[in-house]
Amino acid sequence: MGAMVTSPPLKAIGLISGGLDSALAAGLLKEMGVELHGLNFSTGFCKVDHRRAINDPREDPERLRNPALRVGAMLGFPVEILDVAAAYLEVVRNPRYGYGANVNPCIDCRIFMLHKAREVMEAEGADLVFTGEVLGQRPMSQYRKALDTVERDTGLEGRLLRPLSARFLEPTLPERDGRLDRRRLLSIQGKSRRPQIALARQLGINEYEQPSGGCCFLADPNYARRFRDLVNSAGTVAITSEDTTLLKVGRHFRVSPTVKLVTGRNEGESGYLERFARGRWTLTPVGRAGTFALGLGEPDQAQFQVMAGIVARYSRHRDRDLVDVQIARGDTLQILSVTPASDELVDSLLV
Amino acid sequence: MPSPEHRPDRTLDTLGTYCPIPVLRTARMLAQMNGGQILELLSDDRGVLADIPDWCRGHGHEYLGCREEARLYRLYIRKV
Repeated sequence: MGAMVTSPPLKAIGLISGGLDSALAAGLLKEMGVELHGLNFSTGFCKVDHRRAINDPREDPERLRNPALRVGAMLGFPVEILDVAAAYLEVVRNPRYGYGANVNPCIDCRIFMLHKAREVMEAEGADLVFTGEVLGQRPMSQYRKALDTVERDTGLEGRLLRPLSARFLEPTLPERDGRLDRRRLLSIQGKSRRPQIALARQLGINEYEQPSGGCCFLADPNYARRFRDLVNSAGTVAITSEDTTLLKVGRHFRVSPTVKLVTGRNEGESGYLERFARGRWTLTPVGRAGTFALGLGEPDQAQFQVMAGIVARYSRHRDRDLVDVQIARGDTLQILSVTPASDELVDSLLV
Repeated sequence: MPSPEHRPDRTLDTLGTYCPIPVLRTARMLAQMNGGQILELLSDDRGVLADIPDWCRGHGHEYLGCREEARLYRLYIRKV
């Protein structure tokens, strides 16, 4: 009689955002004995990453935590962070499937991340890629046709598992060959979070990031407005990662199609903007009486007057008739005495 | 709290960088080290105080603790 042959455990590569759904998908598969390897993508548009870059000492440390690493720690599997910011900018510039309500290219984003996951799956000899997607939960990316499109475009047919909605979807290869018990996979669909919250309790998952893309700047209406303004003025081709980074911070004023002013709203933002000063115009009330601002583009003297007026408006001297504002770039420096801008002017230029 | 016998074999300076850089560079540095060796990570990103212990638990490394000096954090990790 020959020795009994046991097949090695299935290995799955997961997209782990740190939200409830990806945590549940991982928890469920872990309970089924699947070996997990998580991927978390640093796209350059994550609000948590940005809060950390601002580095405000008053910020609650819990709001600085990477939720994906938390999920890996809680469930006991490695989560690898992939820095994809440069490549991801191309997805944002020119999404094949367009944007959602804001400038969130959700379908292209899934395809981009799943392509990367597929590469890791092949490199590691894993069997599957999994996500926490739930059928019918999100209008753009989680309806049936979008799920099928993503599976087809990534070449992951038969190897892309959505454990939370798997019973509504075609069985994956490991389900078909019996290595993964389809009966233990779930049939959750729709926007209600109740089944997920009950499952979280059952799996002992008690810490997770709030759901619904709340961490992504691209789904933020304020960010989207600034992004569209930038596209209107510069065109998508010319947009750089510094441009998209600056959109996250401060107040933005469109002075002309090619000139913009960005003012810090507090000490943290002003300090952050100062890191981008090299090669750009800087505007500060004399005596550092308040905000720090960056001037983008090549303003003429009349535009400098307008920009200085806005900076004066946000300085501690805003109640004075005239405020001295220093404008500098490299060795070039001038001080303008200006009247603080009116609320009407500020409102009309605010992006 | 790391004890005095936790003398680092390597030190990684990530001052001035923020998520995800400190974690990425920690992973890369540990990959070059031998099991049992200790890495000292220098950071001024407060987020590492949560992320590095979490990352260590997920990856099976031993997080030994942190010393804080003003806003400079020294974190100690033993590669398993």
